[in-house]
Amino acid sequence: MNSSETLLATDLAGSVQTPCGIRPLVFRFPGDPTQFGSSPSNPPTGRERRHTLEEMQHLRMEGRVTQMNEAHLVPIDHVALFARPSFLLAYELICGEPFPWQSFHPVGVMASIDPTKEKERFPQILSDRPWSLHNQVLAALGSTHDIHNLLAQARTKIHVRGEHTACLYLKYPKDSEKRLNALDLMKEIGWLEIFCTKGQAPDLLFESYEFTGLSLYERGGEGRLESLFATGIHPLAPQTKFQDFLDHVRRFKDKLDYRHTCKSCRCASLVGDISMSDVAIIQLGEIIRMANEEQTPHTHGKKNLDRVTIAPVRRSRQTV
Amino acid sequence: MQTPTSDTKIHGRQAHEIIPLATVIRYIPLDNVMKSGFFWNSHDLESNAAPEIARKCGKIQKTIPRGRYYYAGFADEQYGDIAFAYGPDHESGERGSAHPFDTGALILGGLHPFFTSPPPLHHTCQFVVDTRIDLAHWRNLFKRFIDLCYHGDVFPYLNGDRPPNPSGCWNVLPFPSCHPGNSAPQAWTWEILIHSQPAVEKGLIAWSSYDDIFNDMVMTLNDFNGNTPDFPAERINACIPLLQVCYQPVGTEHPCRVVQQKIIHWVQAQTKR
Repeated sequence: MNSSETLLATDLAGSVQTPCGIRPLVFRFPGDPTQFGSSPSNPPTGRERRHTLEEMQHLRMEGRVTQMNEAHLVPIDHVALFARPSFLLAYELICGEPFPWQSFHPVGVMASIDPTKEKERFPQILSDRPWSLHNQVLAALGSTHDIHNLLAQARTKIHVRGEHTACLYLKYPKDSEKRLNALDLMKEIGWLEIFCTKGQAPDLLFESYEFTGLSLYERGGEGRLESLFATGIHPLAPQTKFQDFLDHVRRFKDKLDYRHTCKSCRCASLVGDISMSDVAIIQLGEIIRMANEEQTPHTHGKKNLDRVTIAPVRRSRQTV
Repeated sequence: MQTPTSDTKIHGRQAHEIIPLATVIRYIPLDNVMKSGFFWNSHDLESNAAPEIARKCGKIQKTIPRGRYYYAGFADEQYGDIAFAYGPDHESGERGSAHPFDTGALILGGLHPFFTSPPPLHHTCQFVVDTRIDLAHWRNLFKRFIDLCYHGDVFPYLNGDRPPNPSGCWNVLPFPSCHPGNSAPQAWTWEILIHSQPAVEKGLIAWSSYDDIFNDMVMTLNDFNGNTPDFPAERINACIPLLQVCYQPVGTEHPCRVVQQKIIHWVQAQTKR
């Protein structure tokens, strides 16, 4: 089989219980008896499994594969990017616009949604937010390259918007409840970004982990930061050193300090007290637009923030 | 001409001595981890099929105890999102058993010579009992299996190839590996069952999962680092080296394929002089 050959994709491999992720597809192979399996590797190995329809139903029931609402004919090298309501809504609240599916037309997948559980990963961002806008898990099917590009764009937007919120904690007294909540919010912005970080270049990893890293550093010092480095960064980039990450996080703190103290570089709460009404979303977009128009602060040798044009804010239609 | 054996074909350590054990689990959501207070303990790694098999085999249930199931040298992607591969240290000092086929697939009617639906349970269960190998002896018998059925070369086995010489495998019982009707690797892949509960990090060579699952684990560990009594810092600290040293990034591959490659490279490295 060559990569341009198309097959009917019916399922995503594995579960879709994290907020957002990429999964190989499970295809229905032509022939008799009809069989299902993952995209064959090259060269094929004897370990590649084929399943009958009966076996597939068993795998679906056990949550080892996740069925799409409809089967789709796609090239065999395509994969799926899935996103749960928690991720889509958190993205919207941070970035002020719907997740940028671009030309992808996401499809629904058969996965249960429990609103209470959905909020577990982003409790600060999603507290008291309704779920009416997002009522199913969506998946975009595409080439690895295109999906990585899509995620890279999303990651950049989260990062830019996050910087306008992350310094909020500096205005609250140390150990105050508000400061701790603001640190949690900063940490969650970092988690949101990390779900979109597909590259393994150390610079990108450091940048993606700087929100969460600073939050943990502020609360628990170097010990917490070292734990984050050991679990999150080092396994993906063994050549990196903790001291470099520590220096990076300290520089990031300086940058937020500057934004906080510089009159023309104020911090802006992107999610604070804003409700999910249409009006509020437009206000949110306006805040972001204003924040982006501000002068980019001194970055201590780091490159300036990317400027991202804010598209007109409107309701997401893909889940209606 | 005499067939080369694993003794003569490999260098350094012998393949049967070091062939890794692989196990695959489904992702455990954050909610479950918090409430139960465990993280990759025995419940997570226990086979979901085991209770069903025990139920089906009824009267001889005692001979099919629950525990942690592994395949010798094979991370099977049908079982979940997270794959682990262990060196022989993992089983040292443990009790358990082994079979030269997947007992679950056999009992559930998926393998010849019991490929029927429903299978004749008594005969099938008795066959499983009769073919049981003690954990302490399985590696020596596995060597014999590789010598006879794979001409002493373990790598076709690791690749999932059918035994090229199946009739030479066994001549006493109708093993699934000899049956021409079996095409799935479950028929010739060895299954290992450890009755006790070795620590998840004991003898670990490699583990892998999808990026988002890896990230979610990182978040879980760092969100609750020592903050909750059900999620003690000691448990987290024990898992950190596991995450740090043994993780195999997946890209968009299935984690089992990544771990399978790691197993093959590891065996190559270990057996090379």
